Amino acid sequence: MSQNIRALRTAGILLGVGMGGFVDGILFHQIFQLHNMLSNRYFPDTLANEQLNMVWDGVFHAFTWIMTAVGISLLWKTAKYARSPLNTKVFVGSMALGWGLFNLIEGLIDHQIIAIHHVVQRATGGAQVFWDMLFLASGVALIVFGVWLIKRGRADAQVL
Amino acid sequence: MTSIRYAVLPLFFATAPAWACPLCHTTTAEQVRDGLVSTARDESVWMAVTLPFVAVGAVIYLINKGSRP
Repeated sequence: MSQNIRALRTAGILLGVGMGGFVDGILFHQIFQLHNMLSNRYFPDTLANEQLNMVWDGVFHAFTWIMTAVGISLLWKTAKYARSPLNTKVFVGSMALGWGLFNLIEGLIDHQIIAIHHVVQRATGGAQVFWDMLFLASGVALIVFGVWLIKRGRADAQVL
Repeated sequence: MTSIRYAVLPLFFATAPAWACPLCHTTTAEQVRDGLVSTARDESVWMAVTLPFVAVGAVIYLINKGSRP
C-alpha cells in the first residue's frame, strides 16, 4: 500500500538542519574556534571581537534550536497521528538532506555572496578558498546521500 | 520610604553595574556594546544569520509541493 512520506521527510529535513547547525556550532565555532559568524569583519583576535562573534554565534544557535524544536514537534505529530510510515531510511536520509541543504545554502550566502565569514578565517588565499569549497562539497555530498537513502526507503516501503 | 524611592534606589541602579559587574565599565565592554549596536543595525548581518534558514524553508516547501500526490 502506498503511503505519503511528506510529514516524516519534512520533520527529518528540519532536524537535519538543526542537528547539522549544532555540529557546526559546537565542533567548528566553539571547539575548533573556526567559522565564527562575523569573523571576516571582526576578526576574533581581540577580546571585544571574540565576544561580538560569540553573541552572533549565539543568535545562529538560537535559530538552529528553533529548527530542531519545530522538527521534533512535526516528528511527534507524525508518530502520534500515523501521518507517515516511520521508515528509518527515509528519516535518516531526510536528516542528511537537511544538513546538506543547510551547508550548501549557508556556504553560498554567507561565504560567497555576503562574505561575512569563511570556514577558516585565519587561512589566507588559496587555503581559505579550499576550506570554503570543501564545506560546499560536504553539502552536495550530504544532499546526494540523503536523496539516495530516501529513494531506497521509499522503494523498500513502497511509499510515495 | 520616600528616601528609598528617591535616593537609595536611584543611587543603587546608578552604581550597581560598577561594583556588580567588573567588566561593565572596561574598554572591552564598551567596544562590545558599540559593536553590538552597530551590527544589530546592519541588514547584511541579519541576512547572513537568517537567510540560510529561510531558504531551507523555501526548499522544503518546493519539495513538498513537487511531491504532492
